[in-house]
Amino acid sequence: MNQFAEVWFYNQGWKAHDFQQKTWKAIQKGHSGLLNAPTGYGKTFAVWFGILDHYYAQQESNKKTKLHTLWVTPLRALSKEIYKAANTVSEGLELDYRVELRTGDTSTASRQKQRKNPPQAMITTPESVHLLLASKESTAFFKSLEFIVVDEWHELLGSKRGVLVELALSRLKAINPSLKIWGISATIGNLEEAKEILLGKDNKGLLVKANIDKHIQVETILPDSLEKFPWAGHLGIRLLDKVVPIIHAHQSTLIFTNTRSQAEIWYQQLILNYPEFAGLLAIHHGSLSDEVRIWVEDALHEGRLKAVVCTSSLDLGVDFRPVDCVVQIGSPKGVARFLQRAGRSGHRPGEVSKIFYVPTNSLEIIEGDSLKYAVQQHIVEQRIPYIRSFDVLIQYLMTLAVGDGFNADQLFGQVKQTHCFESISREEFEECMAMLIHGGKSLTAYDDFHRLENIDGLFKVTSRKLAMRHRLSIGAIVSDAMMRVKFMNGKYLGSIEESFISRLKQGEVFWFSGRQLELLSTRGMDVIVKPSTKKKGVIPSWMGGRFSISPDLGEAIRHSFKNIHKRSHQSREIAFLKPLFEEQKRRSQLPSENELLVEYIETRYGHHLFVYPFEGKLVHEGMSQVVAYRLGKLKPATFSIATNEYGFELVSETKYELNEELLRILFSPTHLHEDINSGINVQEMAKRRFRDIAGIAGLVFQGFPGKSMKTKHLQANSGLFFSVFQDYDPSNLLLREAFDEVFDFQLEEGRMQKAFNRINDHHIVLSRPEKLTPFAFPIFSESFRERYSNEDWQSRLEKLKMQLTLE
Amino acid sequence: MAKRIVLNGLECFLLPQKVLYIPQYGLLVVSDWHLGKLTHFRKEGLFIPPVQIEEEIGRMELLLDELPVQRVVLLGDLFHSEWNEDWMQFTLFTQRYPRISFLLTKGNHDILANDHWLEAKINVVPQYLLTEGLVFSHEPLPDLPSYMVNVVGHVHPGCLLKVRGRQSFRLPCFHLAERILTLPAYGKWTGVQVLPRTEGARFFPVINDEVVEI
Repeated sequence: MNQFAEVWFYNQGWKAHDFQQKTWKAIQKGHSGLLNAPTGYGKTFAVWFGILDHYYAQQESNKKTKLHTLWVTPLRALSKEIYKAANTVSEGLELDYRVELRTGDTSTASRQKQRKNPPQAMITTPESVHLLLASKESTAFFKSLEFIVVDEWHELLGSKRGVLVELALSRLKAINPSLKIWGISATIGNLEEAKEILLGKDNKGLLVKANIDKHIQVETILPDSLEKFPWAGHLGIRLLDKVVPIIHAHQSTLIFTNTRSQAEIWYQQLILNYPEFAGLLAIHHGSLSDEVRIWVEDALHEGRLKAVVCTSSLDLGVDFRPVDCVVQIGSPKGVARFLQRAGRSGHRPGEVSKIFYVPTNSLEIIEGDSLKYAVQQHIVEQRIPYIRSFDVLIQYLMTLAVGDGFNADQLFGQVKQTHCFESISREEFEECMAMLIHGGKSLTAYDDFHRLENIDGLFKVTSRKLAMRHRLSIGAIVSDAMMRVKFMNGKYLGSIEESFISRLKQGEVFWFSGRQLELLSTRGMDVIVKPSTKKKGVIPSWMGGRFSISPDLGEAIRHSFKNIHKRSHQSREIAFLKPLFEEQKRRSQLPSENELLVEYIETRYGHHLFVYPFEGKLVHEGMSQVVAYRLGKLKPATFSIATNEYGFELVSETKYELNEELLRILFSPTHLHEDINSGINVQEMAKRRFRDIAGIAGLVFQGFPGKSMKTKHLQANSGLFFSVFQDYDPSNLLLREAFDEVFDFQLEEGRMQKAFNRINDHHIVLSRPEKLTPFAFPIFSESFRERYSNEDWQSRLEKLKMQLTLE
Repeated sequence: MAKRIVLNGLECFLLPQKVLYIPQYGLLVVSDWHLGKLTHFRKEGLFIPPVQIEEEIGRMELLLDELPVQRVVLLGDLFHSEWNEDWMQFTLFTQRYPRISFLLTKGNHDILANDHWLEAKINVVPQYLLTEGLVFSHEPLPDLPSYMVNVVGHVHPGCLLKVRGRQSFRLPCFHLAERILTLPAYGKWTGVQVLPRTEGARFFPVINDEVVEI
């Protein structure tokens, strides 16, 4: 029995769910655990009341308050929400259990106050926990900590922020061995693993499942006619007029887009074409100022908005009661994300979550069918945890050294307890240390590199400059340098990447924060703007919007494609796409289930080889590299490679004499292992991975707002460091990490082997269409490309010279 | 292979070593070397392996040994930041060429103390002028008479070439527009900034051992 919950629930007129009772009981007994429950069913209270109960059961007398609970969430907005809920309970029940926020927004003054006079509970983020570890006397500060709660653990698990959590936990457990750990997670494919990683291997905590089945209604918005609908494109604006009646028919609608620029475009188009939405429509994304976002969130709560165009910034947390409809623009790229977004509407028990799917190009229509299938079959992605992320470890070593310092032997033991560094060897650990102590393996004659210093057995950072620089760069999210967009009067609108602003001239107009703005001037890291009424403007594109379709959604899509040959019982989406499949047949071929279609087309770009194995983007990435390697052995060439869910494309200037016999060899499973290992050019993929690694490890320093000249002298992009390491320290741990990540996340050999085996049984159909086909077009227009070349840089340049002189 | 261009009647060669050579004056112009950059990074606690700069100096020595050079104009950003040991090596290098005069038109990165320039026998000047109306400076000078040509560095110009087979190349280049000739950065560890293809601008990318106009 939980007396606090009982009173509270009675006063609110609520009835406790089973899972809440179970959680309260488990916490009472001092267990750790993972709670799996959907949003909107009181999962916060399930854990919170358990903690309160435990606190007052243990509390003897009125002594000085100490930090009792840390509640970690992935988002600041979510932190605020939890803070509000927890605070209301303390106030409503007149408890002396004090709750405070500790995020990037917390002022220096309140931070100092928290240090001297800590509250019982702090609501915070993984980065802020590390910042606390980076302060002096952090060990004493955490000494009496009883609970740590990791909210939305599924969101953190598959990212390096999850590694930050693992490391922080290993430290806190060492400080306080009786620490109880609770996680809260939405449904994912690997809940058990998620629990084990969070609690630790030896901790037999509980997995509490809510088992609440939520009803989800999915509807695909179809264009009036398929012929006028683009084969490729990413804006989806064509269906704008179809979305408007949906907005009208509901009380409050969330319109999710995949990127921030897409959100700006949709907002702009809605307001321009339907001026009656002025004041009723808002925009919300991660680059907007807190002020704007908080205003939007409050207005949503109060039901003052008809619709909000948003990105993943509204994926999590906060429930907006008035929201009764969700629109997803473009492929959601993953089933879990789609479900999560759908769940943003109708979150009260018993209500139906309604989601409309708006495809942005013809082939994407089929995903409507796939999404329904995935929802019906309860397909949910796993979140794959990062392992051996030495970049995060190096950051963490610095964090502790900036704080109280650390003993290397003890720390090695703690770190080895985490899932991420289970397999780390002492040598590897020493190598990380060496980088921080003398900048690498070797020392030169007059070198005065110093970061870590050994002071009486504890490694510490003594330079204040280094300490400050490190505190400013704690975290595992790497972004470009951001500039702050402001009005003349100083009002702050949000931040845009420096690279976008640098392309604009004074007087040019761009769309941001749902407004049309004219660039007046740039000062340091500030962009000064004024409102503009000019017709034309550009929309900033932000980095990081590129994510590919998850393997699980990919599987559902492949299931849908199997049905295109069915004569009856076709879904609405597939029936609608019939003319497109006929066009594909007319121009080329429509492959049946045991056929592999290969198209060879010449355009002004060169010779295109399109292959459609329907194996998912991940496999296609590797497969295309293998095929490029095998072709390159016949005749040296350079390929530009694009992939999507259905197939891949190799473009090259070099022409090949293709026939079915040759294709058999290209797709043969024999010598696959050798070809993957010797053939695939992972250099560029690794270089791209290295961008984040260098940022997290602390090689790339962004500088602070209004950075001085001296810090500018430290700026360089990660590409430079990649080259330096390759030239002077090719076996470097961070460099190896970049390559490992490519093999772990991009080129999975097992999956590739299976795919090649499957194709081996297929009949290969070679077609030479005159023009691009409906299948080819979306791949053709992929702007993100890999490159494969077995010509060296010099001979590629020689060819370039030839081309230029001929023209 | 070098590219020959004529500026105000003066014959100039754009060399694939990313330098400018003017035979009539035996003048070699070198921009944005950014010496000492990586050592500076290490000093500031960025853990990169120690890097030798002999190779970069060696490349310059090759040029000086092959061409009849009387004067080297260093067009700014010669040294990346505060003093470090790399400067000693550079000093030894200039001492090996007592007959060549070294001039520096200071760039925004050149914050070394005067003694250090002297030590390397470098004459620091605000700009350098040839009678043909060529004026050398780190950044473009304001209000120049219209007959003058300003030779500058600073931006590390590059261009983006897109060719068949969906290939693209980002290459360092010489850039000539509105009587301003911008030199590519000489230093090995410098980036390039792709300049837009504006009306009337001429691009001379460095492709292997050749400078080509596009």
